[in-house]
Amino acid sequence: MSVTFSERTLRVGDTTIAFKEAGTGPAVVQIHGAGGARVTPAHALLAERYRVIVPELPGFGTTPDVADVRTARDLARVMLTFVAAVAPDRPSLIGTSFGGKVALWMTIDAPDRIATLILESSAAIRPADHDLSKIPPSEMPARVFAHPERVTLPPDDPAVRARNGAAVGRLIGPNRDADFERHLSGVHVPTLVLFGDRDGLIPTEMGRIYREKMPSAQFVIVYDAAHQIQIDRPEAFAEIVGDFLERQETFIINRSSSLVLT
Amino acid sequence: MVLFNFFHLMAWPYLQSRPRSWPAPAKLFDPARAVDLYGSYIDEMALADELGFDWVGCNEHHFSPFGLMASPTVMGGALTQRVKRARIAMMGSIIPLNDPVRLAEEYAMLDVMSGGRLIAGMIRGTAHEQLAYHTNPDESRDRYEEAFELILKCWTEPEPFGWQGKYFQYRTISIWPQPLQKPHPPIYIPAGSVQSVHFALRRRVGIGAAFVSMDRAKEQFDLYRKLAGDQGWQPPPANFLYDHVIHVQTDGDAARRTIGEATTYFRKELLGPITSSLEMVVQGTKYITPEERARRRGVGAETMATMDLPQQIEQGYVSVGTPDEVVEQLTRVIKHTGVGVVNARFHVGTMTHEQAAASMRLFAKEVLPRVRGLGQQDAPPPSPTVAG
Repeated sequence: MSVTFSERTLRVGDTTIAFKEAGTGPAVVQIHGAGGARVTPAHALLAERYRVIVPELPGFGTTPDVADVRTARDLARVMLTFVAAVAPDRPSLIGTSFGGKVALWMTIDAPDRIATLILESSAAIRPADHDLSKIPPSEMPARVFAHPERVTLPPDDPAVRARNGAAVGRLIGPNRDADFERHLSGVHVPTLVLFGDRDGLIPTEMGRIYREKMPSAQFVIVYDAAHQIQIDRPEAFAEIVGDFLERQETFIINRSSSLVLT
Repeated sequence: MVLFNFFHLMAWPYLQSRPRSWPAPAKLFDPARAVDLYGSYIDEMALADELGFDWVGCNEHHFSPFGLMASPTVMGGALTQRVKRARIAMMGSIIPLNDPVRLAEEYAMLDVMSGGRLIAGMIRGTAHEQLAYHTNPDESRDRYEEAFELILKCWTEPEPFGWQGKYFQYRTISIWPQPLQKPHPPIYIPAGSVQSVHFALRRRVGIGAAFVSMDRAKEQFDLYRKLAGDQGWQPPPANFLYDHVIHVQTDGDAARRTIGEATTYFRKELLGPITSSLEMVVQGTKYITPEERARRRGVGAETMATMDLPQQIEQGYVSVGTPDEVVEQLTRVIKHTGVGVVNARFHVGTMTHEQAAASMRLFAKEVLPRVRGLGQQDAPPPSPTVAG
């Protein structure tokens, strides 16, 4: 991981958003989930070809709340302002878990300003009876990581974790959000939906709903990964995301050589 | 209820000289003679169906007279049109050697073409088979496990999907046809190792033991039962399959002579040449872990190759003799192992079609009714629970 992320801040309305950034090329903005703004090994790999921007969402970590942000859509509006300032030239988005819903709202509300959308283990659509509070904390690590041994960052401060969890609980909306889902058929931005085959938080099968509802969505299952695909299989994540960012729906054409020897 | 799978290796019985090793030279094969041979072998599968065997079974072997089903699914396709009632058991395609999406498609075709009678064996293959398509034996288990998951997804995912695997990468998959049995056909896997037993149990699929003594088979089955019990689950006997040679005649001594000659050919001409290549892979790669190698010493196919007939009967590889004798021997094997599916091999080595067919008829008339009801009362084949 030779890429170094620099830390910057940007004033957005009456709040300040801190973000980390590395690389050059087309911009890719990470919209994080309950885990907060963390630079992953997958980000470092993507930064070899792209300008990777990892902001901390208002209401998460140490970033103050923004007044009047009551829903994921409200938060999406704030982040659209951030994105317009930091990467005005049609960036792509990676929406992870809860961030999937924010990134989708950003795309729904400003489709012309988003080049490509990546949804990683998106929590925007959940089974009707889904209730994470029923999962014993002791089970959490195995549900989040297929490879806990690949986690390199120290765990968050418990206070930060609690604040992030509370923010998600406040903003995410119902398991099946009819008002949100009816917009999906109108999303034409090329979208890649990724789920780990061992995701213990959001069932892998949720991925097919995006494929069904969104005309331009591709659904790909990442083998041997749970909820945190970027941690469980960084190379696999960066490879397919990089390919999709570059080629969108034509990424289904194999352009790599199978020539053995000349 | 004990089920009988009429399992056929479809061996080549006309060897004039013994191949030095595996692969056997293709010049020893005579396509003109194979035309009738395939015909009579398929007739035997159809006869098994008429006689009341529960399944008919195919398998995959390469580059040798050991078995002529390089592609068991090709044979399965023929059987869907000849076998009207029995289940068609692919025991099966060698998963790490083949394209998993192609296998998912072929198995799904067989399931639909047979009206939902497919048994889906997911085989890792004998060690030397890994040489056939030049795949790395070290990676065989990992490839197998990934392909297994991918095949299940091919059968259960209703929307097009891609697969970002470790060994397999597909950008868009949506197989037609889909299997008729839901969520998917019953699955069996070979479980020679502790690791395989754990894998099978996680998915609650059936396990099989072949070319091992009944003690060794029982060990594997007991491990599965114990681990399942720890999870509060009691697997049905049909989750356990054991490979077994059967030969019946009214004259017991004649039966022993017939099977003696046939198994001598099987052991010396068919199995013998394979063992050096098999050992090369086993000793030189991680196909079987060192711990498993130590655990299995003296219980594998190479041991069987040196055993005489009384030893083979004693250790549960073979039941042979009069109907009464075979009932007694089979009863012992079934009770000892608790097996619910006998992978019955009737046509062995150089045996003729007439010999095999006569033995099958006598078995169906005088043995089958007396061994069917052995074992615990129990349900049909394992219900698949691995969906999605």
